[in-house]
This record gives sequence, structure tokens and C-alpha cells, in this order.
Amino acid sequence: MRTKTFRIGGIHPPEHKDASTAIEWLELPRQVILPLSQHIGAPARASVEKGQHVERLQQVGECPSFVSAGIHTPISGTVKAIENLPMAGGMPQQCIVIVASEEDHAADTAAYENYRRQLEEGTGPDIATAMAESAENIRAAIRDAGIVGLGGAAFPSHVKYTLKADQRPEVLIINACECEPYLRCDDALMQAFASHIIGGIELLMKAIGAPRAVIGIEENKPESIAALAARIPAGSRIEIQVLKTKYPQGGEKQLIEAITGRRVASGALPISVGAVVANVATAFAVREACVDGTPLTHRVVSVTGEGIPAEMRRNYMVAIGTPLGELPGVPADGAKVIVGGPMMGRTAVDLRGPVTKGCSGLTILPPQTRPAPGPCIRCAACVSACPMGLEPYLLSRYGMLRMWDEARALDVADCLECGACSYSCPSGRPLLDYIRLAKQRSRK
Amino acid sequence: MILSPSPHLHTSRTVRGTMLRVCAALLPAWATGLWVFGLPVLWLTLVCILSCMLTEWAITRLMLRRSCTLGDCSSLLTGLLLAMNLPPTLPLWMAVAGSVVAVGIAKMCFGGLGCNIFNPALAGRVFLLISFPAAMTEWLLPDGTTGATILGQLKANMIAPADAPLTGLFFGDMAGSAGEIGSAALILGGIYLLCTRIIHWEIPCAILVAVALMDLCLGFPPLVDIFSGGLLLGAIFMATDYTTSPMTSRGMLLYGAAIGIITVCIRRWGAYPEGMSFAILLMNGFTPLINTYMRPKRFSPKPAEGAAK
Repeated sequence: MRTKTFRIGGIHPPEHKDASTAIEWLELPRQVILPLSQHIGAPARASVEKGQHVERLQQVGECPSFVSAGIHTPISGTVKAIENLPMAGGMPQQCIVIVASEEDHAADTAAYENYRRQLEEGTGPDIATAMAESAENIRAAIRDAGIVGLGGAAFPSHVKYTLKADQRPEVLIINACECEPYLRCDDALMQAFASHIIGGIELLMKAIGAPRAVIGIEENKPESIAALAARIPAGSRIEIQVLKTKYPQGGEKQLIEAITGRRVASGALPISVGAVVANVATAFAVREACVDGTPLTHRVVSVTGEGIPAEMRRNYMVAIGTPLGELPGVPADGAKVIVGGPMMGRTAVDLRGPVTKGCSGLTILPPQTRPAPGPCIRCAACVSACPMGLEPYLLSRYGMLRMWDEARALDVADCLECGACSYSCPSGRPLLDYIRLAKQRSRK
Repeated sequence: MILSPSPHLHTSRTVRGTMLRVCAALLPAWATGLWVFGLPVLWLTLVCILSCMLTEWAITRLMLRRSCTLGDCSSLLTGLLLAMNLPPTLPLWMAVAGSVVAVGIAKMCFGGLGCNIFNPALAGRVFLLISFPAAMTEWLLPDGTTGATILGQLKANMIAPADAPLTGLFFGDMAGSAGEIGSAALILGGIYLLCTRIIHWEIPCAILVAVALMDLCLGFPPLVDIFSGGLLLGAIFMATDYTTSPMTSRGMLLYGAAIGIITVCIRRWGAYPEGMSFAILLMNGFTPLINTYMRPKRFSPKPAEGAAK
């Protein structure tokens, strides 16, 4: 099959996909910190009280409005506190802290072990019952499981998949690009649970009424491509589209263009061109929620990067709410810990902050300083790299000079902050820093 | 903990590395010049490079009291390019004057690297051409005598276009500056720069196509134009100078095509036998305008008026 790709810009940074693709299941933590806002939209409202005992997988935070997501606990225990605690990024947030007793922990561990065995052996409940449900019920199950987009944006899934009456989806696009260097959590998930992902895609197709689905995956993941291809049943309306390994292939607009050839307008949603996009990990979570009834309490997290020894670069199945510092191999200090990939991830300030739903991995890099910026030599590398067809050299100059109106006139709002411009600048100029500033300040 | 905004990766490409690679790409052509014309080329090159670097050093350190910027190697490249654009037997003091104008006026007066409007090496060359027309048009022939270049002979109707010796033009057997005679070596350097993606294909291709089309329209053999004078040197190494050329693909095509057309116009109807320097400098002046009117094609179509989001 011919590989496809988006047409404007893009870069090819060193891939560094050297972490193992096995998934290691970490022991359940004795204490979890569950932030009430792990998603875009209104923060969840705590539905438990301090001192109350909660059961594993119980809902502890409920949606106060439609655009929100519920929060569930991965462990049984007692609510120790509901208070402001620092997140990885440094900002404090309202969190529910749950502590397990020895008995709680033993019972949970047995149940968790059982769940794991079912998953790995594929002996869990069958998908047929879930597929027989109506689209509305599937969406309700997604909502009740607190599922959000797991690619990083963390937009509540049930909102995304509730389409208006006049919106006709033509294709469900599954984002399996994982175009960020280093990260391998999606790759690992696809190799381990391809059939579950295919099941999740079928459920999602039913939930939104999409006639077909296309899995967009970069060509640097041949094992995952083979695993998925082997699990797609004959006569299925799910197909795989291999894409060129190019950053940002997994950008939503770039992915839609690569697969359908259509471009989403500025400020418009993918459905305006008949597409709905979901991450592979989201599809997996949807399957677990609808078939098994397991809410989103775990996810696969990569811990990788040159800052840790090669044998420690692995993927873990982790309880959401586990403090980042408790993940194996995370150094306490002396390295740069990035939540997410190296192109768009944010550096962690506080490793007491928990793994959240949208956390795809930790990229740990050796302490490095940015190159000292030199003058812009107008080499046009940033213009060639920008996947949105913008002029980063000019926008960043406008940001530097506080010329917000001029930046707005040159479509700074289209910037997806992928970092391709800063990456490609031979003068080491911090282009994206100033473009971000211009983008925020020029917003009307 | 170490904090920094994304992205956390950075290309290994640097300004210094880019400049040095362009210098490396120029070496085959320079070596051709050295081989054909001998040691004068070496002295001229050393004098140009040293005086370009010294000018930049004096201005940044002694006049502006800023940190030294020689490390970016841009004045090294300017010196090398200037030397390759001058007659090998030019008196060395003139080469010094040209270097001072190139770096001191065309580059540093505008704010240094990245801020100049005109290509410094070409500004230096044109300054010399206008100031010292006799010395700047006295060319060494490969046999050691002096005479006119092929373009000069064509301009004076000494030979017919059809009689121009093409193989000689291609392999450097002609009068000219050290950098312009070795067409084969220049093409080699150009291929290297294209493969390493240091230059964009748009500018050299647009120039060559425009020159070839113009010549075909005028009934002039296109290869004679392309392989003579500074056309290849200009198309591959001078017009592609980052700072003074447009930023977008469309802009580069327009810029290149205009350079090609202007060059042929000067060569056929102008007072000078050679037009490449003037054409490039002229279009350098238009570059800001081209950048303003030929923006890159945006990814996102603008939402239709009144359309529901």
C-alpha cells in the first residue's frame, strides 16, 4: 500500500524509539492523588467525603455539566483528603487523595491480577453484548467511564462523539501515529492488545454512526501494523492506512488531510469535513468501558529518553493517580523530566504530581541547555517546516515586539504549537516561545 | 528540576555549519580556478578572506564593542565568494577595498548577519566594477596572456554565439574570474548543496529555466549563456544567499525567474557583457516586497462567511 502524508511542512527529528515495547504492569499504589480536572472542560465535582471508604473503580468525581469527565479510583481505600495539591507542572489543583489499608490493597491486588490475566489471555467478557447496545447506550457507557482523549488533549470523549443531527460522519480516523520521538506507549498497546483496540473501534463506529474507520499509523511501527492487520476480521469496514514517518503526522488536521485529502478550516472541527478522530488508546479504553465495565483508571505510560539507562526505557500499565516520582527509573533530580514527548511535552516541576489521564509518557533527557540564539539569517527553514503554512520567523518577531494585531492578521491563531519551527532553526532562536505569546495575546 | 518550554529537541544544523558547508561546496570551483590561473588566485583569496574578517572584527569589537561574531563564518564565506568573483590578477589593494565595502557597508551598516538587504560579496564586486572598470575587465587567459571573456567577445561581436567553444566553457578553459570558469565544478557543488538541503531548488532552477527560455525566444544558444560568465556561480551560490532571497517557494520562483530574465536582457542589450551581479542585486532589493506579497500557502482554508463552526 502507498504511504500517505500531509502536504505542507513537517520535520523528521531523530526517532529515538528505542524503549522496549513490552507492557509491564506496576503494582497498585498504596495511595493515589486524583485531580478533579484532568480534562478540558468543567472540573469534576467530588462525590465522596473526607474519611469515606471507597471501592476500587468507584466513581469519586462526577460531571457537573456536559463538557466534563467523571473521575474513578483505581484502588479501594479511605478518602484521606480533598485538597489543593501540586501537579507535575507546578500549578496546584483540587485533588482527592485515597489511601489503601493492607486489606484493601490485598483484595485490590487479587482483583487487578485477575483483570490483567483476562486481558492478556483474552478470556474476558465477549464484545457481542456491548455491540448489541444502542449508540446512545455506548456513549453513556463512555461517559460513565470518565473517558477522555488519551492522545494528550484529554477532551471528554462522550462530548466529542455526540454529534448534532445535521452532522454526518463519513469516516472515523484512529490516530495511531505516535509521531512524537521517544514515546512508545501506543506502539506497545497496539502490539499487546490489537484485538481489543479493533473492538473499541467497532464500538466507536457504532457510537457515532460512522460507515467506516481508518487507522492512521506511521510506517516506523511495522509490528503494530502487522498486529492490527491480523486482528481485523474479514469483511470489516476498518482499514489501515500506513503514513510516512514525519512530524507532526499525528496532528489532528494533518492526519485528516493525510487520510482524506480534506483540510479542516481555521477554528472548525473535524466533523466539518466528515471526520471524527480518536486515539488508539482511547479506542482501547472505550472497549474496556463498554465490554468489561472498567472505567478509565489505568493507562500505558512510557518512561524513556537518554536521561535514563537503556534497559530502563520501558512502558508501564499504571494506575492513574500514581505520583510520577514512583514510576521506575524516574530520577529524583539532575535530569529534565518531560511529561509527554520532547516536541510538545511540558517539563515537570514536581514529581509528587500524579499520572493523569492525558499523560502518555515521561521523556527524560540529560540536563541540556538550549543553544544560545543567534540572529535570524532568514534561511526560511521555519517557513518550510511549519505544517500550517505560517511564517514563524515573522510571527515570533511580532511576538517579541508585542505587535499582536499584526500577528493576528498573519493567522497566528492557526499555530498548533508543534515546535517544528524552533526545532529547525539553525540559529537556535526560541521561535515558538514568542509565537505562543503572540497567539495568547492576540486572541480576541 | 530543569524547566524549559517545548520543543526540547533541536536540529544539529547551525549557522556556522551551514556557512562552512557552502565554503566546502565552493572548493571544487575554487580549485579549478587555482589550477587554471595559478598562484594569483591563492593570494587574492587569502587577501579577500582576511580583509573581510578583519573588517567585521574591527566593526564589532572596536566600533560597536560587542562580542566577536567571526565564529559564524559568514565573513569567511563572503571573502571566498568575493575572491571567486574578481579577475585573478586584480591589484590586491583593490581586493582589500572591495572587501571593506562588502562587509563594512553592505553587511555591517545594515546591522550585520541577517539584516543586510544586498548580497555583500556582490555589492563589493559591483563597487569595484564601477570604481575600477579597466582593472575589473582585464581577464587572465589560461595561457597566461590577458584578453576579454567569452561574454566580452560576444558583446563586441568578435565571435558569433554559435562559435563559442562549449566544452572549453564547461571545463574551465576560458578567461574569467577564479570562481566562474569551472562550470562542472560549480554544478558539483550545487548538487552537494541541494542534496544536503542547504539551498532550495527553486532559485537556481528558476534562473536556469528563465535564461534558457529567454535565449530560445531570442535565438541565442542557451548553453553558451548558462556556462559562461558568472551565471552558474550566481545561480547556485549568490542568488541563493538566505538573507537576501525570498522566504517562500513561490517567492523564490519569481525571484529566480526575474534574475534570469534581467541577466539575459543585460547581456543582450545592456552596456555590460555580464549581467548576473546586477540582476541579483536588483532582485535583492525586491525581496522584502516579494516576502510581503507572496506569503506561504496556509494549511487551513478560511471559514466561509457566516458558516456554522
